[in-house]
Amino acid sequence: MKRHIFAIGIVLLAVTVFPLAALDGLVVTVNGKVEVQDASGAWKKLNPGDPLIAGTMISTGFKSEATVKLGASILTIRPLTRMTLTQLVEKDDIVNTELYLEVGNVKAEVNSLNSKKNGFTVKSPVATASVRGTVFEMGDQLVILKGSVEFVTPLGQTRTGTAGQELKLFGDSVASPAAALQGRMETIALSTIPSTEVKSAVQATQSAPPAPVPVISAAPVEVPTALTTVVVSIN
Amino acid sequence: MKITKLCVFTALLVLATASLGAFDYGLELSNTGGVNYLTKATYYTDHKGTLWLTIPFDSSNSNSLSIEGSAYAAKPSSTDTFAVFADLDLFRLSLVPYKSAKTKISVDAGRIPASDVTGFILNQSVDGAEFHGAFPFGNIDFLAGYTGLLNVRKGGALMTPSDSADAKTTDIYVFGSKHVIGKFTIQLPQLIGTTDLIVEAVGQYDLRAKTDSTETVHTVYGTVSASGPVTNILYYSLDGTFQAGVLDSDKTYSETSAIASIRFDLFPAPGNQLFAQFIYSPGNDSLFTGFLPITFQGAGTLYTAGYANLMRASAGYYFNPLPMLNFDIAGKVFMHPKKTDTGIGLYDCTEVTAGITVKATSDLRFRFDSALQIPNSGDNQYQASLKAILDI
Repeated sequence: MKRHIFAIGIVLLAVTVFPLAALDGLVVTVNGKVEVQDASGAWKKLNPGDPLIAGTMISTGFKSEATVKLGASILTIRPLTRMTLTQLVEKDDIVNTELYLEVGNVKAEVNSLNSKKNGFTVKSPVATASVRGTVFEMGDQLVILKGSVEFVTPLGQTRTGTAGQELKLFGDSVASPAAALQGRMETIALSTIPSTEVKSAVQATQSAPPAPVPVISAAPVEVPTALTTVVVSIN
Repeated sequence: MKITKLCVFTALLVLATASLGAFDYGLELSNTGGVNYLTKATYYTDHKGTLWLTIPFDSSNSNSLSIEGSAYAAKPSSTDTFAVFADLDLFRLSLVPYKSAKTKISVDAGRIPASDVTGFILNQSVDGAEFHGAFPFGNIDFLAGYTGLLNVRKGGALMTPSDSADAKTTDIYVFGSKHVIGKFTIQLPQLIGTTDLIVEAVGQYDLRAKTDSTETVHTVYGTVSASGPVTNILYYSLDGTFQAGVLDSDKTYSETSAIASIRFDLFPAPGNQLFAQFIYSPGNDSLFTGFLPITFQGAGTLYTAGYANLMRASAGYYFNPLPMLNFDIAGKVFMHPKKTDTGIGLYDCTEVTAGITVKATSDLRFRFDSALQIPNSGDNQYQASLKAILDI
């Protein structure tokens, strides 16, 4: 009986573990001050050709940048970024890559390895971006350059953006791409007092602009000039 | 007595939190001078000084207290005398009472700004509380508020001739019309494809004591709003509101109406935005009465009537070439679905507005506004003003 259980255990182990193979990343280019944290916790200079394994933390300095190859995907780590490669594994039909972006900005060009599907995820303290075959840039906001990206907040609110769109966070919600474009207009706010703050995620994330701030004056109150005229009687 | 207690409580709260040492406060001065030409050129000035204070209770500013008080002064174009009043504009306690892995509830309580999703029904301060819920499926807002403690000088809920009559005062502080307001909003992002759906219910109950010479009105509004991208640079928003209500006057009348709007926003290049909008609200007929919002708002700048019995087509362009320089221009055509008492037919007037905003320094901004109205009959009307806003 014990022998049978042992044999079944071996078979299960083979089925579940062996198809899951860890991949190494590879540093392609390094520009400026780019460092990697080794197992002892010490920081050392990153060089082109260096391998990257899961668990590696990378930090870029001012005006510094690095390009790394993760499977067939290309990741550009922008200046003043700190990120960790948390997972890079190849399963039967999928390559799973996961990064934790502590601070900064990364651009990911997600490509298929050996015609397998890509599970490419960038997590940050405030949101998660998951993609399958695309190019995107993530920092404080998500810019989708090609394909589509699912942007998820820690509460689980989701919005999928497509190429050319930009997604921004408002608290625990993802704003409509129109709201991000409104933000990029850099319209001068005439007043910045606390009552002008938009506190509702519904209003901050919708496509249409929020209601204008009412104008209050000491001038006599503007009385409605078209008060309702009633024509329908119900008793 | 109640006001004294409130002041003492506020002072204690401020002192108790002083140790946090993260107060944010300031003074904003806003001064406008303008000229308008309706039948002859007249000049007006409008001034506002706002003292504000924000006390955060934590480093993330999730829990905070914000207070704003303003002094207002104005010389309207119709008179040579200055009108003044002062008011507590904002007293908002913001808290996050509950947060879990899948739910966040925040609340703003006190004297707070409130508006509906379209901005046509409700857009004013109320005394009450608004709860904001964030869930994996979307967002929910719930508001309960009262208007009877607000200063009537601020306008706001002017729904009946009785409300309007009370607002004609020069006293410093007169309590506003007594309406209880409730609002429930649910937002479902990307519910169908890329379309966001918002469903909202707003209701108000008039607490005015009914006499032979007064009217009371109770209304509810149901709104459905759909919005989303047409392309990556073109976005649409489609809103429809149905209003039902009862007016108690010499008899009881129904107040049934609707308002619908479609809007497109185009962002062709950075710093450029174009919009086009069409609003429709029916006139009086056997089915509908005029649209009666909670907060009365004029539908134009020189066109001061509301949204009842109105078709308004508008288009505009925002051009922001520099972070410190914004231009805008818009045109609005006002038409009436039903002939009005004044005998104006379908077409009423066209209004063109243009403005420039300049951010001279981080603390000083200027705004120039101009408006021209070309009516169906009668002389053209003009208005121009210059506003300076200084933060201290």
